[in-house]
Amino acid sequence: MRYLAVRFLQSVFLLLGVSLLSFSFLELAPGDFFQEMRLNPQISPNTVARLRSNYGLDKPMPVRYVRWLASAVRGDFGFSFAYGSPVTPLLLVRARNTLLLAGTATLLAWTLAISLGVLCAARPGSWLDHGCSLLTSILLAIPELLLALCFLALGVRTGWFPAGGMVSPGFEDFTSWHRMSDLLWHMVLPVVVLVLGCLPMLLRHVRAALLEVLDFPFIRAAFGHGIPRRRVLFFHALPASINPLVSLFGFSLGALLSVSLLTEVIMSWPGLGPLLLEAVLAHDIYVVVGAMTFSTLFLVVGTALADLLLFAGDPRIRSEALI
Amino acid sequence: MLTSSTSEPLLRIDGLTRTRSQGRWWEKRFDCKALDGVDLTLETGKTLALVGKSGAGKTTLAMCVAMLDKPDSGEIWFDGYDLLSLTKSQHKVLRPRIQLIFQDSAAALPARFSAAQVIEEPLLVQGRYSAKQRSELAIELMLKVGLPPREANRLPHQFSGGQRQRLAIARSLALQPSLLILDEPFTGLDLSIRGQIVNLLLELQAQLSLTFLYISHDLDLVRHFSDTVAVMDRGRVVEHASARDLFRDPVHPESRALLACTDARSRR
Repeated sequence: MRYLAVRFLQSVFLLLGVSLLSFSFLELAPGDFFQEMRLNPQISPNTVARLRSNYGLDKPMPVRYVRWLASAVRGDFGFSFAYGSPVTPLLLVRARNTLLLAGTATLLAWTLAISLGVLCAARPGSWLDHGCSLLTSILLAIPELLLALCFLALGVRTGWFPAGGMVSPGFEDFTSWHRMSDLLWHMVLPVVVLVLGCLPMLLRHVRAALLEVLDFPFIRAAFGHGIPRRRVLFFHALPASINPLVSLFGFSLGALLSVSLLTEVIMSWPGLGPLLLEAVLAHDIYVVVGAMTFSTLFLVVGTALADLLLFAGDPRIRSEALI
Repeated sequence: MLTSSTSEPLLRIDGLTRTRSQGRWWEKRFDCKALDGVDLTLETGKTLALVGKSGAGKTTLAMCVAMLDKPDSGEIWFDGYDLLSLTKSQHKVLRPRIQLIFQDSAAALPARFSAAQVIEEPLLVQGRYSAKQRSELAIELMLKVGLPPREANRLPHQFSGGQRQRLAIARSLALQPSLLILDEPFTGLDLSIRGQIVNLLLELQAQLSLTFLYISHDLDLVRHFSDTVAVMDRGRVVEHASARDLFRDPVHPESRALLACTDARSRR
């Protein structure tokens, strides 16, 4: 119980810290949302000043921060100047889109990583193993930006895949079956890019964890008892190697909202990435702070989930826990 | 060599060699002869002890006999079958008959399986028993090795060293082996537990007519526990005699050296 309380407090401090930092950074950057307007000679400085005080931008930063915090804990993350609407619904819609993309990609990447990793570790030094090693090295060396651009170019050139976006025009009039296939069609390219981006590291970790476990006596003992290779790999070796992988999975979950930022921007996927980028460039403070805090919340929940999974998955930790 | 009894020996090893190449890739590789022409026989229902210094090749030999490692040359005959050239179906039949008990029971048992699951798994893989039969057999085996059945849901790390070793024995017994290879199973157990496990093994040998290949450093236990003894040195069997003859009158200097250590200890 005490452990949980401490964890909770740590998370709260983390969230506070992140929101404060993002607020401060944006404040420190010169200018504000109405900067563009001030440069326009047709709008009088009085109008700009009035707009600013309407939105509360003339108050000092600490005051604004505390006000924001007070409403944030109630779920209201403020008001977006650029969109002219409250931040929270905007964030939620965009976050949903991002989760759809990143969630699918993460699931796919993990499935591939575990299957390939087990196969490679079971036959170290084989063609498959060397092939995967080469592939992961190449993928690690290519920046995600380049990958996204290449695939986008591929899509545009061949016309097999849409040149970005999430839905085709006229989506609302589609039948539900057509809607789903349209969505999937749009998802292919960004998901491929994301999977290729995180697969190398995951694959390497899975393979390394398994290789380490395969040296242990209980693996040989299992073979000695006539247990077939496949069962030994998946029921003995994999569960024993899972601990570091569960922690990694937790981080994967925590990064769900942030990992796809670059790809979303390039492929025009309406997720948190493009929203954040636009908001930073336009000085749309509350959107930025809201998005950052949201992302951090995800990270906190993801790592907590990882710890919980670890606890639930390893009977040894469970039996020795002091909770 | 021993005078052969009327029956064929259960296990016969001829000229077994196993060379391991050692050294990192930037060093000059040198070959280390783990086994260098080993000849041994073992009669059914008897216990053969394999003794020798560390690095003499005892564990390598055990691994080869247990079919967990392949020797470079030589022959291993088990009950009329050549273990090095088995067909798939022959392998399936013989695999359960030769079982190996490891030195470190904690490292040899899967950490996430309960005791019952550990014992039942070999049965599950064989596919001959229903779930109910399997759990009944597991309880029976636990009782046979002296483990209380109410601990069936405990995990290996929750048992003491002696109980874990019993669990490993129960797991091997599930397959109804003929030959049990014991690779220093008593190290790490304190003396009283050691005695209990030794007696358990002797009882099981009498009940189930098991044959033991027992690898050890501890010559006192060897004297108590085995019928014949083979002394190994640098991959070769340098002396092979009945336990009584060896302890009374060792021939090879290596055997004498080993016995000298024990005598010094027991004289203290």
